[in-house]
Amino acid sequence: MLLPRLLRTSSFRLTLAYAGLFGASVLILFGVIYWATNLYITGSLDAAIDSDFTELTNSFETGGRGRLVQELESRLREMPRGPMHYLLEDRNANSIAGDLPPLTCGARHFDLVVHHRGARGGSMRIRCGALSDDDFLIVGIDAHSREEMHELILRAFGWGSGITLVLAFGGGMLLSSGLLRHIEAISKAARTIMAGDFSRRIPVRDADDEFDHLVASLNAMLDRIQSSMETVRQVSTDIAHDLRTPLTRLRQRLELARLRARSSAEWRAATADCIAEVDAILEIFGALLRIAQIESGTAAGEFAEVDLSDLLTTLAEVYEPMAEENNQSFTTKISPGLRLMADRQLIGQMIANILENAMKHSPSGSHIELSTYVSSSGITVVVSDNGPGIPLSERSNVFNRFYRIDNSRGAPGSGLGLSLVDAIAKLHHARVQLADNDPGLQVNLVFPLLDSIALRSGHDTSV
Amino acid sequence: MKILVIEDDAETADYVVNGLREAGHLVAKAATGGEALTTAMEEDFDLLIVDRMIPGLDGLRLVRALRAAERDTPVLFLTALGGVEDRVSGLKAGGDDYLVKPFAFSELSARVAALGRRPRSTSEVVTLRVHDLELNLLSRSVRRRGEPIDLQPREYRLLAYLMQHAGQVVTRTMLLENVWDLHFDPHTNVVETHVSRLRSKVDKGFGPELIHTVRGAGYCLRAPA
Repeated sequence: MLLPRLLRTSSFRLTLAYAGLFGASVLILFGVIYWATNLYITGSLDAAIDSDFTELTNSFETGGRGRLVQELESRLREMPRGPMHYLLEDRNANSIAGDLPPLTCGARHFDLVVHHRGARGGSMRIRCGALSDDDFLIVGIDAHSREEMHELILRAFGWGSGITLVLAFGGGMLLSSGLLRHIEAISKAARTIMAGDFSRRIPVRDADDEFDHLVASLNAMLDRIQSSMETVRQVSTDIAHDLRTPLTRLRQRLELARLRARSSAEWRAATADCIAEVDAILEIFGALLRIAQIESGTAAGEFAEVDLSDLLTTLAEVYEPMAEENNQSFTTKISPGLRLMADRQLIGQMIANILENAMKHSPSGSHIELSTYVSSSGITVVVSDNGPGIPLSERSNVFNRFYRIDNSRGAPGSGLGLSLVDAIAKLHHARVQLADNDPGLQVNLVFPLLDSIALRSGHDTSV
Repeated sequence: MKILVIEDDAETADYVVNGLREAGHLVAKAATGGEALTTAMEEDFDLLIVDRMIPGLDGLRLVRALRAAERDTPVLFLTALGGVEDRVSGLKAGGDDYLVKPFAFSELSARVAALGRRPRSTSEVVTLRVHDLELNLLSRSVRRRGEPIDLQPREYRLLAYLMQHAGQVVTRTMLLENVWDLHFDPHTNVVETHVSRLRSKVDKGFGPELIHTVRGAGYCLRAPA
């Protein structure tokens, strides 16, 4: 089961491909060596017979055929087993002297394969030449040194390529089985996670190699997915819980209307109440949807340059009536010419939520201020009040969906306002800081300088 | 007005169609994108009310197709897709207004009226006049019975919008969107405050009231009958 899988792995195929390539280059290398060696050995054999031939030609020239025959016979007596072999023929190819079978001369140098020569046999290098019209001298030398060399090279090539192939195959298997083991560990962990154990993580081997990096990324992805899933689970529980209250109220109103309403005016009033209740429920849904949409980050595509100063002035104008109604004093200190790359509607909604919170949760007679300042870290929008504030222990919780501080449970609101603020801030890479206003709450919205262009007008921008 | 309602949910479609008919409009309806496109190309309508999620050709593509065919019939998107970028993509595709479901019928009917009687080219109009109230868009000056009235910038924008839609009901949401450029509900009575401030400047001491409150719907600026 494992072997075919091993053979199918990409690393194994890669190793084989490399082995093939390597084998081809070895083949070419050996070919070149073979060719060069052959050339060299043939050259030295030719040189040996050439010098012998010249010597014998000299003997012939000085002493004629008789002297040559004598010379040949004496040489053959001295070294009967070679390596030199001779033949003297007449024009009709009749042997006069020597140990070679009669043959017809062709080219000057050529190879001759002799089969009957003792146990050895094998090929011979031959030189032919005419000494006179009737005297043809043939000098040969055993070429088995050359054959031995050929054999040696071929054997070396055989062993070499054999070992290479075995190494490549074995190495590929080893490498692939290592890779397979790692991948198997990852897919096993993935299967366990798929089966429902979301707390499970893929083991890291501390090798700090690409596998560990991959595993680290996968684990980080799993962390993110797990936290998102938990949020989703939490949110659906919260929705079920928090919608129960307004739905219960709606049901009570409808029931009361059915029991008590007599005149059409009473019916109308009851219906209006119910519509208001439904609208409140729909607003909760709307806020949840908006938060989800903003958190998914799709809204970031609509960023444009926003005149923050103008937006804040508008919002101050919009919230003034609320402060007035609540008997609160409301002041602003907005620097002119502040600009941001942002979504105007979302930023507006964010600051509106903070202002609304301040006004809703501060008692009558409180003071609320909307101000801005520019520092090296960016543009900061500050909403401060001297209302009840948020206790330190609650500050990290107030951004959670549906979270409401106990003492504000009676006040109207969905508990989604600050979650929306948080989501919008994150989309804009802004930070929301809750601080003490001694007494009261100070909300700082810090837009990093990165996203803010051309601060403070006055001198540079004269619009 | 002759209106085509493009909506696949039968109950919503009936609610819209019947309401508009009661308000005196001539209404046709279509339930799919393809049907809507054919009808809108064959007949001349004063307004299309388009749901974005309809079977066949979806709302956005329908409106793009109509605009590509040089049909400039005003389009009101009426949709459950209420995200900021949904609104932007709707208006980019060629929609003239965007109303998110669920909606109050008074809101829909006010917006229908505003779209239907929208002057095709506002650039040539310099002076808006209702009864004895005059607003000059170039000099940004306001007079009633010839007497100059001093308005804050926001009050001026509010009055200009009311006068551009004279005789029509204008809702609080429409005012927030067009006068304050806020596409969310700030839960304050800023509109009421400004309207009452405007009233005290424009109506007080000048005889017949021009700015009227329409209960449960909004405001209406109109000449006395």
